[in-house]
Amino acid sequence: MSLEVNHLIKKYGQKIVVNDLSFSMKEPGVYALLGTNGAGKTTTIRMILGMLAKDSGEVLWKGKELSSIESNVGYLAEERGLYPKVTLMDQLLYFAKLKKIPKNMAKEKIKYLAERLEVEEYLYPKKKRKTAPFKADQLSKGNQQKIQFMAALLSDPELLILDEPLSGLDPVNTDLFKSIIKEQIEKGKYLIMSSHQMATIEEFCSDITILNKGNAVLQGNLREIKKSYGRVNLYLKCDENVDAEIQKFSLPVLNQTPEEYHIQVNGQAQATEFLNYLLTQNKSIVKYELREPSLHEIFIEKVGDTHEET
Amino acid sequence: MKKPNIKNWKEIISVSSFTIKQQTKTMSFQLTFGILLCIALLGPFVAAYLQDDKDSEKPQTTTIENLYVAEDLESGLDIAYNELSNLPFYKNLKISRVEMEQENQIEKIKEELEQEKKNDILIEICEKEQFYIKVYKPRNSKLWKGEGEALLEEIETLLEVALEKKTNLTKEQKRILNVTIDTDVQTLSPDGSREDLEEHNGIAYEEYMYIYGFVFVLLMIGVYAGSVISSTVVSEKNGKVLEYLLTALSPLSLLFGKIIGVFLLVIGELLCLGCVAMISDYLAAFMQGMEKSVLSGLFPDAILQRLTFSNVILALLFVILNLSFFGFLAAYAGTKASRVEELKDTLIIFSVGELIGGYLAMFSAIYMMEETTNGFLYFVYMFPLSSSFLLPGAIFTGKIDWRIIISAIILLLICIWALIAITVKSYQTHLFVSGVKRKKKRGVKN
Repeated sequence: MSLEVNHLIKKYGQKIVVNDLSFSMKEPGVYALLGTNGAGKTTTIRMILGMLAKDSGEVLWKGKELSSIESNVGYLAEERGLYPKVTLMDQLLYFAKLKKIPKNMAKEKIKYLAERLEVEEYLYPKKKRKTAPFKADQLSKGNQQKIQFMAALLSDPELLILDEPLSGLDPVNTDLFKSIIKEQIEKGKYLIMSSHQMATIEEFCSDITILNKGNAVLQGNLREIKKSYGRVNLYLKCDENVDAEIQKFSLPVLNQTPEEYHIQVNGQAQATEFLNYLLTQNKSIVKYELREPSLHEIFIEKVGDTHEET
Repeated sequence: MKKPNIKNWKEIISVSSFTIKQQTKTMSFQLTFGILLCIALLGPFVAAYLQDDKDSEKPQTTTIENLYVAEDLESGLDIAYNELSNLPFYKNLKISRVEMEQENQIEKIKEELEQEKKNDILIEICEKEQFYIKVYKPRNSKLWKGEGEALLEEIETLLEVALEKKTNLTKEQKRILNVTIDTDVQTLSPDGSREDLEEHNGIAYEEYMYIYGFVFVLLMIGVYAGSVISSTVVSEKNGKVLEYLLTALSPLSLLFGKIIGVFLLVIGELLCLGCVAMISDYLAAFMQGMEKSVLSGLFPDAILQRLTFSNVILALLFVILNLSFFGFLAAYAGTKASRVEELKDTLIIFSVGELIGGYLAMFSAIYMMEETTNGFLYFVYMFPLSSSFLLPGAIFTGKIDWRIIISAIILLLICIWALIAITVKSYQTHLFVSGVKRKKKRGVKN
């Protein structure tokens, strides 16, 4: 077992921000921390990194207390954080120096990541144009995020913690980030990721924790969680109206669009029975999909009622 | 919290060098340094030009053509003015005596000196309860500008010789007559130990000026460096860079690195300015033909005599302690704010500390001219806010007891240790929350 978070508690005065949170990562992969704003995700991440003092609990990395200073940990914070008036190259080299990366190696790594994240023009301005080296405050938020992502990846970290890595990115840059995240997964790295983008989480994460007001309301392997819900979501598209048939089976319609029905069934048997009935009624079925609930639906179910903006 | 060890020093050096690099690139630093550099470069030249130095451009022989002497001496002293002609400098000088009673003639000479732009000088020597020598020299003449003072020195010598002849007193006898009387009371104990009870042991004016200068420079460094330290701490928090930095090093290493970096920068800047000023001073003195440069007059001989290795080390130690103490106080102020705008509230603790310490030291330096041993001064010597301002300079006066010095060092070390602990704690507590905001929120809640 490589990462073990045991009984983390954080209080601000009387308010419990993180309440007895435990989870572990046995294998390399991506662990997702989900929750509404103020659920305690960032606080948890800061406690894991040792930036924030824990009121109780422990974070073990390879069996020892995790120290982000001594272990090779990369971190991309939710909020953008660069020196506004320092050139990008200077600050990346400074961050690399603090991570004890030799200068030549750091330069190579910066060059590679700059190519991957398509920010070469800001880091290596062409001499012919006599462009001065770029500073952080001359970049867009998206590009600043790329530079910060580079800083997180400079040391080729074993454990990479990404707090809302895709927030504020356009689709093109989102894909760029995703490709690098995939690359890290393929390299066998351990990633902890918090995000509001459920589709992204489903794309990458094997295990999740859903936090609500500091409490873990759902934890475990995403596939198993979904399995436990069963295949109860039926997506149906027919050329004709099938309202009468649905009514006959007393099936609740969760959502209806001109194109499609989203119907809740109590299991595969009921869905098959309903399908057979439609076929006997000679309904032309364009789409018939029976599947588990999406993460989005599970998330809404778990925190939707109690959600409260903080 | 990890304390700095040998490994951490590499990180601290990295932070220091980055801080220095970052600061030297700021417009405010470059502008201030440029202005100060100009002052250091040109200041000595201007000062040397303005200094009415009698030795500057001194000619081979006097530029005075006629010397008129008017005497009013009750004791009937016979001053041998003709002796002046024996001096090579005054070999061409024509000396004429004018009777003091002939006021018309004296006024006529004065008018001639003024209107005809002559290279002549009139001297009046009066004797009432003391001797009074007055020199009149024309404003628009071609006389050498140091002629008046040079002549006065020679006349004074002639007057002393005349006095010796008149009173039959030798120089040694005159010295004994003028010698000052000092008092000293000692207690004698049965064990043979003796202790001074009262002693006038105040410092000289030149020594006071030296201490004052030291306090002034330390205050300047403190104010400048303190504002830089606190603003860099708060800007890293505000800009969220801190979150990334803390994955690579501890808050203590970060603070140490910053403080060392800023002080190295300020001290380096001052050393650079000092070197430029000294070279410029030397060149100015050389070009103006001055025997003694303007800056060399600022260091009293008594201080230079006590410039021993141990005193220099002690003074340096106090300077380092001063910089550390106020550096961490500034960092503490920075940790309490989360935005630069909030610094004005949190920086008060630093400003008040600097002002109390600096002004107590300045006031004590004045007091030290009267005496150096009393309850108030003992307090200032040892009070951590003021001791590090006063003692670096005061050590060179030789008037501070070694027990006071050691006590002051111990007290300062204890305070710095406590301040570091408080600052690091505050840094961690207010990493992501503003101290000011927290207080306000609590206030609303209550």
